[in-house]
Amino acid sequence: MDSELQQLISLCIKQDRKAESALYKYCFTKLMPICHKYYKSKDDSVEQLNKTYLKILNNLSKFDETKSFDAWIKTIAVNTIIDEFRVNNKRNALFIDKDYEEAALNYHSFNLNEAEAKLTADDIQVQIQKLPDSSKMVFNLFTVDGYSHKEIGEMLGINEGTSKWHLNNARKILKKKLIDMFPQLKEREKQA
Amino acid sequence: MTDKELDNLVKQKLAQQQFEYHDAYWQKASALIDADRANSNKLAWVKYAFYIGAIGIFTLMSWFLLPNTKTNVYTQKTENVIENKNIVQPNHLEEKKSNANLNVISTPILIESTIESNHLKAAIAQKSNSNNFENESNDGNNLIAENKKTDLVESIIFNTKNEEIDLISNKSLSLIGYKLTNPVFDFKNINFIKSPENYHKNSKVSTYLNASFEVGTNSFNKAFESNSFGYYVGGRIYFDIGKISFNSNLHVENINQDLGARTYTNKKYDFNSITAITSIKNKSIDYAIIGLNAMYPVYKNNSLGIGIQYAQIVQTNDLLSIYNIENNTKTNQNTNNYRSVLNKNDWQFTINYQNRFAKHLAVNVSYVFGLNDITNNQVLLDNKIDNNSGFKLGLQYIIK
Repeated sequence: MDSELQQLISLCIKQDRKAESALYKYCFTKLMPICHKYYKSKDDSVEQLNKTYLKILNNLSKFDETKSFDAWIKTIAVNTIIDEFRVNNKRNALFIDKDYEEAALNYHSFNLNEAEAKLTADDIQVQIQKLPDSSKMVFNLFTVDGYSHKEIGEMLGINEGTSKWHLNNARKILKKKLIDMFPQLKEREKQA
Repeated sequence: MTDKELDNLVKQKLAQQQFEYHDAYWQKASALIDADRANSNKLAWVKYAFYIGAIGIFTLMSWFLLPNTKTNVYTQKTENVIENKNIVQPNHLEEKKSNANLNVISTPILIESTIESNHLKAAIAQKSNSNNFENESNDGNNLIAENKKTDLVESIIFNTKNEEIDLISNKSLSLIGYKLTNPVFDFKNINFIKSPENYHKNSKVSTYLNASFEVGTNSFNKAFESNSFGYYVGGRIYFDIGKISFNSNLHVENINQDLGARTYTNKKYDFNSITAITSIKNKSIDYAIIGLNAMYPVYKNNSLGIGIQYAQIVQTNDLLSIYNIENNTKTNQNTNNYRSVLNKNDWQFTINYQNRFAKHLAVNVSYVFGLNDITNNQVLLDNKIDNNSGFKLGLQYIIK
């Protein structure tokens, strides 16, 4: 950790308002992409980021300086989002009665390169936000934030099979959405 | 498109997102920080108040549980309430009996039949094996049995019959000559729990530690066949394991019982005559209560649970009505030196409901089953079970 950030943290522990403002700016750039994945509007994302930042400030004295500050604040952000998710009583949607089964997807012939070229980040963001809340949560945790199914299961209080089901469900829906966005690709595959 | 390709596409595209920073974001965060720090300061004061209160409670408990060696009786008010018509003077005994056209009572058995109180008989029997009311008092039974001044005793007891109707009911617990001594005790309490914001509900085996402060009222209707109303204050420590929330409560509870229907009565003897009749009309009992409860969240912020608690009387305050036959006056006194007619401790079983209607506030409703007989039947010789059973209603401030 660079000395400038270290000094900033020290000042924040002493509740120096200017330092807190500077650290907020730093955290904004790191955490906003994470928060925005889970919330539909930017306002909601900022609100969640602010709650996360409050936790960061309140726990700064516990931060182990030998470890990565970015990883630490990211963990706090994800945990805060999960807590919020729980409070909103969305947990029940996480429990799926079905056992996990590898869904047979029929979109393997989809031409990725063309889609990749045309898709924007906002397109992806919009499609992710259309996912069911629980599947979106698992998809983001697994695909974007890099948690394993075991970790996700522990965080959300579900078993690994349920986590896998939600991930697969999210992928299936996303692929279908992409096909819907680029019907010409599907047609081209058929012609070929 | 494989799953891996899709994942990579999403990660790659999301990484390209740019978020413009505005000062307004910091203004919002700054307001949030200020509000949180203000609450933290308030919470610090609440914590200090809790610690001080807990120390105070334990200090008081220790003090009250030490042997009480001094008498602390004071007169609250004195009033002449009895007219002179039934006052019997020794010199006019025969005349009075004749005028009143009353039968002469010559034995304790007749006393019983006249007053129609089984408890009186029991108390008389108890009396012969116990200390007398006061040091200067004599054993009433022995004196009555000796009956050296039969006429005087008979007349006074008869006089008691006429005047005591409002003091001793058919259900009264009579303790003739029983000595008023030190404070008593007993128990009673209620409890509840509810997990904070269903926190545990969202995790397989999450644990959660929390605390709360609590005030409330109680209403019991079993003990002494009388109604009681009181209050309680205290704290509670929560420890949630998974969905089950355990809590331990420490409360101080006051129960104020109007003994209306069942009045303790003491009689003071001087030579062969009853000189005063003391009735306990109202009891104020302070309990220290410690309990353990388990609660389960049944729906949203509603929890149900059961618990058991131990209560011990740390202090009592009795309103005495003393009828002085010689002076023909009735005096009300408060005393904290009456204890032997109550058991000092008790166990209670509780059924609890809690609704957490705000982040830091919850309302508790409990039904309490008193498992012990709070009266000391060895003293009262009464087979009836008296217990503190009824409802409690409380408001909790939950810290986290």
